[in-house]
Amino acid sequence: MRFDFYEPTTIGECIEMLTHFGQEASLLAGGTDLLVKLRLRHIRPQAVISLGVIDELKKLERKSDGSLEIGAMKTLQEVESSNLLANEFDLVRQGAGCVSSIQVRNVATLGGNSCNASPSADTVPALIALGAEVQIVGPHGERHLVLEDFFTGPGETVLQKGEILTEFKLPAPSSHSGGTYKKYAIRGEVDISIVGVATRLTLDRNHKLQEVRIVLGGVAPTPNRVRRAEDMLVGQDPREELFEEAAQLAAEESRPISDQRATAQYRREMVKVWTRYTLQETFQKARQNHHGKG
Amino acid sequence: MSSNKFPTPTSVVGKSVPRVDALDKVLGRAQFTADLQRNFPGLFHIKVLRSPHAHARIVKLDTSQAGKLPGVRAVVTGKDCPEKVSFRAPRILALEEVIWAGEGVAAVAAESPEIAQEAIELIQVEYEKLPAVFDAEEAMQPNPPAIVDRLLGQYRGSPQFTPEAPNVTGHFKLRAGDVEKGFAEADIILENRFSTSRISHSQLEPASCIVRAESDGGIITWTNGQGVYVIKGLISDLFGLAVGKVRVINPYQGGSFGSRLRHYVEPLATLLALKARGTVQFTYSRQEMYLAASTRLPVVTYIKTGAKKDGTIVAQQMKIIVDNGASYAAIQDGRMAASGAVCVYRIANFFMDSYGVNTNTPWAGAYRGLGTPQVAWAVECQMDMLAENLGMSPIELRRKNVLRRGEKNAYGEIIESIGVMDCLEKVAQEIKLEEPCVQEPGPWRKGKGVAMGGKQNTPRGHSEAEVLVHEDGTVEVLYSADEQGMGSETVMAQIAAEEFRIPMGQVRVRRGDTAITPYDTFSASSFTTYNTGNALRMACQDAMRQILQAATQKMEAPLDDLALVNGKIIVKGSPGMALADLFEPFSIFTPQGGASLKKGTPVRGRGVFAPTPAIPWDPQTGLTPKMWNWYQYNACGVELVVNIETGEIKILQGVFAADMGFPINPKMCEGQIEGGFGMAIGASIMEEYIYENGLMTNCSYGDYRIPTFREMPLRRNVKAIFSPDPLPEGPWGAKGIGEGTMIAVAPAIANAVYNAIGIRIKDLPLSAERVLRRIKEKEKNDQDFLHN
Ligand SMILES: Cc1cc2nc3c(=O)[nH]c(=O)nc-3n(C[C@H](O)[C@H](O)[C@H](O)COP(=O)(O)OP(=O)(O)OC[C@H]3O[C@@H](n4cnc5c(N)ncnc54)[C@H](O)[C@@H]3O)c2cc1C
Repeated sequence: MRFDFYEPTTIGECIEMLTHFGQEASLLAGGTDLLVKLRLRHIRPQAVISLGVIDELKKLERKSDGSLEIGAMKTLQEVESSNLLANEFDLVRQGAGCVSSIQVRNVATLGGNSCNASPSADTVPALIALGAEVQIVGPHGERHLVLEDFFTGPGETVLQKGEILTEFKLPAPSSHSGGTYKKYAIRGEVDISIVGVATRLTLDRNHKLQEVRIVLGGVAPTPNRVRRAEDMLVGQDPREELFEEAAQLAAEESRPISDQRATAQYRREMVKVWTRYTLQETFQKARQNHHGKG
Repeated sequence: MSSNKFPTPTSVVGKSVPRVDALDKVLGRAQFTADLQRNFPGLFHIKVLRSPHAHARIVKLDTSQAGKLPGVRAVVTGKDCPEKVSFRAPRILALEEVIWAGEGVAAVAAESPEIAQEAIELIQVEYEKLPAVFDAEEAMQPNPPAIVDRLLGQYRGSPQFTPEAPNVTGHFKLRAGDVEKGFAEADIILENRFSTSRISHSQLEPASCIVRAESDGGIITWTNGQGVYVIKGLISDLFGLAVGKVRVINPYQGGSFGSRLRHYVEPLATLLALKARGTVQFTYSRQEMYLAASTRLPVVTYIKTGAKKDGTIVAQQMKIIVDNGASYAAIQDGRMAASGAVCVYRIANFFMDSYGVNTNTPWAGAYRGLGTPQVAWAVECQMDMLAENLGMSPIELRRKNVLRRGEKNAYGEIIESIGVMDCLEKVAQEIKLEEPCVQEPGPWRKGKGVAMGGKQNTPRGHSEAEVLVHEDGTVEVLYSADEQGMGSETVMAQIAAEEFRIPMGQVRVRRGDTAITPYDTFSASSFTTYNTGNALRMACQDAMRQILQAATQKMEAPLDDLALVNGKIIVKGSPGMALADLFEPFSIFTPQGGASLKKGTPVRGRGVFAPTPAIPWDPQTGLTPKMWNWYQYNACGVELVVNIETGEIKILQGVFAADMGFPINPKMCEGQIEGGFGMAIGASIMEEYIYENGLMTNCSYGDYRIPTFREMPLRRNVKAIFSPDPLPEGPWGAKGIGEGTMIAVAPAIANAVYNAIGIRIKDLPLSAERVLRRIKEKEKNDQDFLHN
């Protein structure tokens, strides 16, 4: 297979090229998904356009309002080890740290993980649980949407011809909250998730559950929130039996398929197990943060 | 057979000397087949187009576009292949029908792998799908859903291949004693069905060869296939080449485990080398290693055991169905697998049928143990179930029924060497089987289990070895058995060092080149130490005799008073002389022929060893005083935890005892034990082919998981124990060890799982999914039971 290789230095230049080649071009970030697809002949692009030397895509900034902006080209290793992402944003670090091995994380990017749109992408549930928004830039300007709405199916996103994902925006989280991501795979993080569960809990003054996010990966065509389970918990006193009930609801809301990694039944069962564990752990963290901050 | 006229304790044999290939391998200097590619400028690279269908007729096959691509040197299809088919190799390319998803349809040799790949993608094939059969039990019926291939039996000339059972490749019957009478006497009868999955050898170095067509019509092949002489014979036979013009060279091999006993890359590479009139290389991708290399035989075992209250087994009936896949190279009648049920216990009334069956799945063959682990899986789970039913300890039940030295097994063979019960006793003691596990809070449940087993050695072929003894006392060893990583070069060097009483550093091994090294078959059935080792001892003694003969004159002493020790000729009761002084310098005044030794001319010793042949068995009863040669034995104990929420299993501790006869190199025996144990963990809890319409969907290391450090217990928690029962005719009493080290592991794990969670799983692997499904079933049954 032969293709031409381009290396634009600005977002504008990149979009121009993308618009020119249309369907015939593939964007290259870290390449850990793209190269596999090229090798397996799943795609045969005429042009490969690298995002590697566009500095605008590599930022990582805490804004004065406490929100955070992460450029699409930040590698997972940078994300996982960033101090800016400690504490409130730790969920993102957990998600990034669950992706494969250090060798892969050294080149794989946060943007690539979303744009590849695998149902089992490990950073996505964590980002959705934190309420992440994405910024998309294209020939007609930029637009913003919540990450949950970015995915339209396995391998499919809302990105239109000529568009790229430039950055993630994470709103400032409440201090009385905690978050946990757990990945379950036969061989741990070096393996592809059978299920990934991110949960985030915020407690109100009376230690009741004020805000609840439960996001599942690997058990539906796209990573998604399980809203019945979330709604059931909101306003409640956190209790072990409640978490179990929520886990049961989450399992019922999941829509897994059977494939070479696991059957649908097994995936559903694992949703139940790991949602319960993540809720328990998240609650402990939220309670500690609550106490810690007074 | 000892050569030591003045006996001294062994100096090298029996010692854990470092491997002779260690330095080359750790420094990355050892040459494997693929490393040699750089020696051939203008090398052509081969790629193969493979069938996505399990069974289909090839309606149209158009290679014209591929042939026109610049850089393509040769394109071949089934029509270009020789008509001859050998049972040592699968059909080179499909002709009219493809019979498994993964079978080769066309192949290309091109200037680069990329061009070859591009060319493959330009080939157009039209298939007409045919009915396929994937399940061996369905396939063996008189009117199966599909006939895998009408020609399979004819190709092999298998006599048992009949129109009534068109997919059955063979049937072996054992009829010992009176099984009906036995069952009538039994106090308890237990019947079960067990099965094992299809798995891949997963040797790290994929199959690879380089073939060079020489100007005189001959060829040279460098290959990691096993058995250089066997390949030489195969290639000259298939292509009608003069035997003397075919040379096969075997660099280091990166593992085989039986996979490379079948030669699935060499014939196609030869075909393309001849057509391209050049040098070609053919190296399988990992995906091809799953789809189109050998796999382990999946086996279904029905077992019915009758026992007295005191544990004595009075009758056993078994039906063993061995799935050969779409194999032209099948193990025909399941006899080898079935042997796993015969070699351990004393069962006077034994009625057994084993069948080899073809299915439209990737072909299967030898894999570490040749079917015996699959059958022992059934037997050893059955033994634990029987023990529980009888209220006996599993050790006591086995002790009661195990064969002892000098007794006859069900074939009627007298067992010469059997250390199996000793292995089990040691394992049970080490793992503290009698002490219950201490459970901890949380979802993980602990359990312990044990099992044992044996593996027959096939008395096959013959081995030759040569030594060159030089005047400075250094020795070259020449042989042709394989070095697939198990350490045969080290063992041979140890044997030569021992025979000549020299340090290891003075021995150099030369191996695996049909133009240089003498005949051998291949390394299989764990027989290299025994077969080739015995031949080498003879070669050493032959050279020694020649040297001492020459010394009789110089030393003026009778032959019987002389010995060669570390480069010195020793005469009983006198100081002796240096070996070098026996070698006379060249001079025009002395006769250069004759019996005396010449400077610069090594003494060449030669040895030939062939095992005592088997004695044909009665085809109606399978009875014979000699079915096999000897047996290696082993036992395993494990402690593990099972997660009752996810079904995951973690092995905490493994104890393994082996009876390999005398261990020539204890450290390497430990290596075999640890490696076999790890490999068996994969076969027991992780590995299986997953298919969609017969096409494997998990053909990568990502989705077909082999064990890593993660799945192995900590090094300090794996213990290897030797419990040898030396074999008189083995070199220093050695038998073999390579294949036995997986056998007892899977049943020990299943028995430990039962101990942990009270659930008996009869199908391999014990994957997290399968374990959890069984836990859920049990929960449901228990609840239904409470509610009714
Ligand atoms: C061995 C291995 C193990 C892996 N294990 C895991 C794992 O455990 N968990 C997991 O989640 N993933 C895993 N992956 C997948 C992969 O590493 C991640 O999805 C990674 O984050 C992809 O990032 P990348 O920068 O390499 O993307 P690339 O491969 O460069 O791109 C991925 C896709 O997104 C597109 N794209 C990239 N960036 C943009 C952008 N800014 N705008 C628009 N389109 C874009 C590309 O065109 C391409 O289609 C694994 C991959 C490998 C090879």
